[in-house]
Amino acid sequence: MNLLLRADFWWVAGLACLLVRLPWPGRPMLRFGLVNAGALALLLGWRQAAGAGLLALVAWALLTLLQRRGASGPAAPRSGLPLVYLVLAAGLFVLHKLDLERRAGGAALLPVDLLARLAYSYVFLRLVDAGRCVADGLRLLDPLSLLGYLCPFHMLVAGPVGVYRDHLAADEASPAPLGFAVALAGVDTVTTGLLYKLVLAEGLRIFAFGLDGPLRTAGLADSALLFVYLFFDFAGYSLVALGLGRLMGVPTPVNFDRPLLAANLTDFWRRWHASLGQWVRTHIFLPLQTRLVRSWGPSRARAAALLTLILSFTFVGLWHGLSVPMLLWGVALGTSLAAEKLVRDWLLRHRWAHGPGAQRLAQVLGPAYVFVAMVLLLHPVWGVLL
Amino acid sequence: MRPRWHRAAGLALRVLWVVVKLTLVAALLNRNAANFVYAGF
Repeated sequence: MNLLLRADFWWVAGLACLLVRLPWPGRPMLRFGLVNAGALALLLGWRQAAGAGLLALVAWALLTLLQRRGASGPAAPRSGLPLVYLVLAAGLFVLHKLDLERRAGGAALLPVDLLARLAYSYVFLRLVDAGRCVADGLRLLDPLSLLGYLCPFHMLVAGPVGVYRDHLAADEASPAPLGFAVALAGVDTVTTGLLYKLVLAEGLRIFAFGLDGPLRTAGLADSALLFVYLFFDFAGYSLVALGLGRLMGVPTPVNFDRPLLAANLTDFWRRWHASLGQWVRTHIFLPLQTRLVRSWGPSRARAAALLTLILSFTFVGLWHGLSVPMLLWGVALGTSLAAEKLVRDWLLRHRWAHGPGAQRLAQVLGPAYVFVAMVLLLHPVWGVLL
Repeated sequence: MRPRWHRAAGLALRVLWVVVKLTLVAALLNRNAANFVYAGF
C-alpha cells in the first residue's frame, strides 16, 4: 500500500518531528538517526529495519577504512578500497534493478524485498556521495547518523537524493527550536505535496482514465496527460518529504522548481528531479568532462562537453531501468541536450538572438517546446517509468 | 517593519489554506465524493 495513505506513516512522522526537535543531548543527526531507526522498524518491520541497519554498518565499516587510508596522506600506497566500495554499492544496485524487473514479471530474483522497500536506487546514489566526501577528507558520521542519511524514512517513497555535505553541516550546527512559523511552513509544504499527489495527480488520472482505470499510453495525448500526472505525482511526494524534513530539521533537497516553465531542455533538467541532476553533475558530468578535456586538450573542450552530456544522460536512463530501451532513452535524452547546446552556442554568436524581441519569444515558446519535446521523449518508455 | 496585524493576517491565511488543502485531500480520499465530483466529466 502507498506509504502516504497509511495512517501509521503520519503517526510515526508526527512523533518523529516531536522527538527529533526535543532538546536531547547528542548531535542532531544522531538524534535523527535513532528516531529514524525506530521509524523504519515501525513502518517496514524490525527485519527490514535490521537489514537497513546492517547495510549502513557495512558501509560505515568500509568508509572508516577509506577514511584511515585518506588520513595517511598522499604518500600512502594506492589501494583498491574505493573500487571495492563502489563495486559493492553498484553490484547491489544492479541486483536491485534486475530484481525489480523480475518481480514485475511475477518471479523475484532475491528472496527478500529489502532493497526494493528501501528504494535502493536512491540509497546507491547516497552511498556514492558519502564515499566521495569521505575519500575527499570530510568527517565520517557515526553508524546511526549514517543510517539516517542513507535510508531516511520520510524519503522512502521517491527520494530525493540527500547531500552528504548538507547532512554533515546539519550535524555540526546547533538545532533551532521549532517555532510556530517554521512549523506552519513545514505543514504548508506537506499539505501542498498531498494536494499535488492526492488531488491534482489523482484527479487527472480519474478524469483521463476513470476511477479504477489503469494508466495507458495509447497515443501522444495520453502521453501528454501522463507527463502532467507524473509531475504532480512526483513533485507531490517530493514536497511531502521536503516538508517533513523541514519540520524535523533534517536536510532534504528541493526536487522540483517549476519545471513546466523551463525555457529549454537544459533548464528543464535543472528544475525536474533537481537532486538527481545535481548528483549527476557532481559525480559524473564534472569529473568526466575534466578528465576528457585534460586528455583531449582544450581545443576539443566542446566535443568533450557533448560526449559527457550523452554519457551522463545514459547513466540517468540506466538508473531508471536496467534495460536496452532505457539505455536508448538515456542516449536520446543526452543527444537532444547535446543538439540543443549546439543550437544555443550558434545563437549566442548572432546579435539578433540577444534582442528583447527574441528573448521574449524564447520565454513564450520555451515552455511549449520543452513540453512537446519531453512528451515525445517520454512516449516510448512509459511502460518502464510507471 | 510589517505591522503586527499584517503578520497575524498572513499566518491566519496560511492556516486557512492548509485547512482547505486537507479538506480537498480528505474529499478525494473518500471514493464516493471522488466519484460524485468526477462523474460530471
